[in-house]
Amino acid sequence: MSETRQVLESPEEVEKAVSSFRSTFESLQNEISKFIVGQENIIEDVLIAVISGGHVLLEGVPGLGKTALVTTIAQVLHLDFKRIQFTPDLLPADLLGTNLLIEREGEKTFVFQQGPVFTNILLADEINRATPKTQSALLETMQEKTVTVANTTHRLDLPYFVLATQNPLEMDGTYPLPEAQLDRFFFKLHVKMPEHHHFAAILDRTTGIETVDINAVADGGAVLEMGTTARQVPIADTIRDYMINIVLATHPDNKNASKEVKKYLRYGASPRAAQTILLAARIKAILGGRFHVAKEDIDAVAIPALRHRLILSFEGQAEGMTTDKIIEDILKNAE
Amino acid sequence: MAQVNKFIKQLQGRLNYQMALREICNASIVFLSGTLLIAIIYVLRGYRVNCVWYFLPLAIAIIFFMLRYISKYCKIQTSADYADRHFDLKNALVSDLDFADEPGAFHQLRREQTEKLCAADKLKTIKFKFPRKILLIALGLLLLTSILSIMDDSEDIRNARDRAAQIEKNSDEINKELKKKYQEMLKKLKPNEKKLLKKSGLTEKFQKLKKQKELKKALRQYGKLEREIKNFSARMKLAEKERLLRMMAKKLMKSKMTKQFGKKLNSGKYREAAKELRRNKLSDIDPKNKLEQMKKLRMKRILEKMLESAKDAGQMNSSLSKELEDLLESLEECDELGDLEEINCKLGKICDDLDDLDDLKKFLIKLNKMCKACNKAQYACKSNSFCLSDKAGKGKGIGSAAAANFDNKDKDPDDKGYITGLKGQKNKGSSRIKIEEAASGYGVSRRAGRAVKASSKRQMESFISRDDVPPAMKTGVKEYFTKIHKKESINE
Repeated sequence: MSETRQVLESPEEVEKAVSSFRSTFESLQNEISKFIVGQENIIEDVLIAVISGGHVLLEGVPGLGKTALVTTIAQVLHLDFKRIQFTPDLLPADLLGTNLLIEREGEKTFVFQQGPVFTNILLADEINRATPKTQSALLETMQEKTVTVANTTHRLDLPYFVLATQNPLEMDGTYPLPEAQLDRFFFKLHVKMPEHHHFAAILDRTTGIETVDINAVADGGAVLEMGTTARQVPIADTIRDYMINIVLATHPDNKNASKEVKKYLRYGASPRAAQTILLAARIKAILGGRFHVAKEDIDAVAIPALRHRLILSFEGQAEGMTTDKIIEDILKNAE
Repeated sequence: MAQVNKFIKQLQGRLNYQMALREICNASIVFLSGTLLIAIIYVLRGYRVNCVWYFLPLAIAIIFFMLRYISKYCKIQTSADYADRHFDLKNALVSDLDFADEPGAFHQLRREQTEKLCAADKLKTIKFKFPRKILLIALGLLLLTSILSIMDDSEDIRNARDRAAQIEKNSDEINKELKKKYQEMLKKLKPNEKKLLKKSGLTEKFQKLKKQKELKKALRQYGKLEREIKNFSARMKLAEKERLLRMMAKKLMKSKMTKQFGKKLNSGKYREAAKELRRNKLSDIDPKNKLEQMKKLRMKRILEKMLESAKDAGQMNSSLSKELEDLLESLEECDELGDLEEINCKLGKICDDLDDLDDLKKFLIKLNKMCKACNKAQYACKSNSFCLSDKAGKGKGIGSAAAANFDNKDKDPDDKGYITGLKGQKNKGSSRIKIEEAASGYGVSRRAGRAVKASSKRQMESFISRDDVPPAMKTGVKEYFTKIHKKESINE
C-alpha cells in the first residue's frame, strides 16, 4: 500500500474529509472501548499517533491491558499485526529477517526470509528487555520504514506502526532505550490503573463466558487518508511561535529557559518533537471541530510528545523530578 | 473577513475605552495623593494651602495617564487575543489576523467558522469593572485634601506675618527719619565738609536704605551703615592727632609760660589755641625789644615742649612735628628781618592746621550723631518703635497712670491689711522674658559660651581699633585674648 497525499481543494471536499475523519475516529474509539475500559485518553492518543504515522511507547505496570490495546487496535484497523516478545537473547535478524541459502532445481540461491517487522502493526512487547543492538535494529524501520539486509533495502508496507511497551518497575536485566530510539517514538503514554467503576467493567468483560466481538471499522487506506487530511489543517504564525517557544524552553542553555529547566534538565527536545506536536495538534483541532490549530491543542499533546525527549540531569534524578512536571511548568509560563 | 475585523476593532475600542477609564481613576489617585502631600506640607508648616501648587500634581497625573495609556494601549493583536480568551474562541481571532486573506478551502471554512463566532452582541458581555476600591480611596483623599485646603493659617504664622508687616512699616519709618536727619545734617555742613562727605559715598548709602520685612536684615542694614560712618571717621585720623595734641598740652601745662596755650589744647579748643598761638607773631628782631623777645622765647618754649612730647610719643614723623621742628630751626637762626616773614608764615600754617583740626572735629561730631542715629535705628527696630530722637520724652506716657501700682492705704482706713497691686495690660506688648531651653543631662552650654566669646572678641576688636590706645598695649591685649582663646579651644 503506497502513501498518498491528496490536497483538498474545495470547501465541500474539506468538509467531507473532516466529517469522515471525525466519524471514523469516533468509530475507532467506540470499537476499541468495547474491550479496553477506562483508558479513553490512551486510546485517543494512540489513535492520534497512528493517524500521524508515528510510533507509540506504552509504559505501565503489567496487567493494565497494554498488549490488549495494541491487538484491539490492529483488529479495528483490519491491519496485519505481529507481536514480538523482546528478550535479552533476541537478535536483530530475529526481527528483521535473514538471507537463507536454498537449493532449487540444483542451484543454491540466497532467499530473503522476512522477519516479524514486515507487518503493519508491530507490537514490541517489553522492548527494554532486548539488548541495545537489537533495539537499534528498529531504528531504520521506525524512521525510514525500510529494512536493509545484505545491501538490499526492503520497503515495509504502509501504514506501519511500532507500538512498544515497557515495564517501569522491573529494571533488572533491562536495557534503557537509547535517546535516538526514544526520539523516534511519536508519543510516550503512561498507562494508569483504571478507576473503581472501570475495574468492575473490565472484570465483567474478561472473566465471563461471553466474549466481545471486535469489528474492523477502518483500514490502512482510511488511516493514511485521515493523516493526509490532518496535515492540511492550517496553523497561524502566532500559534506556531508559541509551540516553538515551548520546545525551545526545554533547552537548559536557552536564554528563556526557566530556573527549573536549567537545574533539572540535561538536554531538551529535538525539532522532531516540534513536528510531533504540530501533527498531533492538527488532529486535535479537527477533533475539536475547528479548521485551525489552537494553543489548547498544542498544550494537550505537549506532554506525551515531549516527556520521553527530555533528559533529566543528575540533580533532577536525585530530587525525583519528572519530565511531566517540568513540561507542565513550561506550559504554564508559555506565551 | 470584514465582519471579523469590525468585531476586533469594536472590541479594541471598547477595551481601550475601559482601559482609559481605569487609568483616569489611577491618575486621579496620583493627583489627589500629590495634592494631599502638598496640603500636608503646608498645614504642617502652619500655612494656608496655596492651591496654585495643585497644578503640579495635576501635570504629573496627566503625564502619568498619558504614559500609562500609551503603554497599555490595546493593539489589534492584543484585542484579538483578549477576545479569544474571554469568549473561549480557541485562538480563532488571532489565527484569523495571522492568516489574513490566505487562500484555500481550509481557510475559507475557518473564516466562515470565525465569522459565526463574532456576533456583535457578544461585545456587550465585556463589562466595565468599576474600580470601587480606587474610587473609594480617591474619595477619601479628596475629602482629606479639601479639609486641609480650607484650613486657615496658624496663629503663629498670622503673628509672624503681622510682625513682618510691623517690621516693614517700622523700617520704612526709620529709613525716612534717618534720611531726614541726614538731609538736616547736610544743610548744616560747610562746603569743605560737604566735599569730604561726598568722597565717603555715605549720601548714596543713605538714599539706598530699603524697608525690610525681616528684623535681621533691617538690623544688618543699619549696622552696616553705622560701621561705614565709623570707618569713615576713623580714616580722618582725628583721634591720633588729638592724642598727640593732648600729650603736648600736658607738657605745656607744666610751665607757666606755656600753660595758657596748653590748657586750650588740652580742652580741645583748637581754634582758640590757634588764636593764642597767633598772638606770638613776631614783628621785630631787635634784642632790645623785650616784648618781641618774650614772644620769641615763649614760642620757642612751646615748640620745644611740643617736640619733646612728639618725640616721647614716637610721632616725630607726623606733619605737625615736622612743621614744629622747621619753625624751631627758623626761630633759632633768626637774625634778620627777612626771616621774620618766614617764621610768621610757618607759624600761620601751624595755626591754620589747628583751625582745620577744629573744623574736622566739629564735622566728625555731626557724623557721630548720624552714627548714633543708626545705632538707635537698630534699637528702634528691635523694640518696634521708630523714634530716633536724641532727647528723652518728658512726663508719663499714655496708659502709664492706669498701669501704675496701686495700694489701699488711703481708701479704706478700717482695712488693716496692706495690699500693693501690680497693674498691667493683658495680652499687650512684647514679652521681655526669654526662656532658654536646654536638653537634660550633663554638658556645656555651647550657645551661651559662644555668645560670651563673640562678645569679648568684639570688645577686643573695638579696643585695638581705638586710636587713643598705644600700639604696645594693643599688641598686649591681642596676645592675651589669643592665648585665652587658644586655651579654651584646647579645653573644649
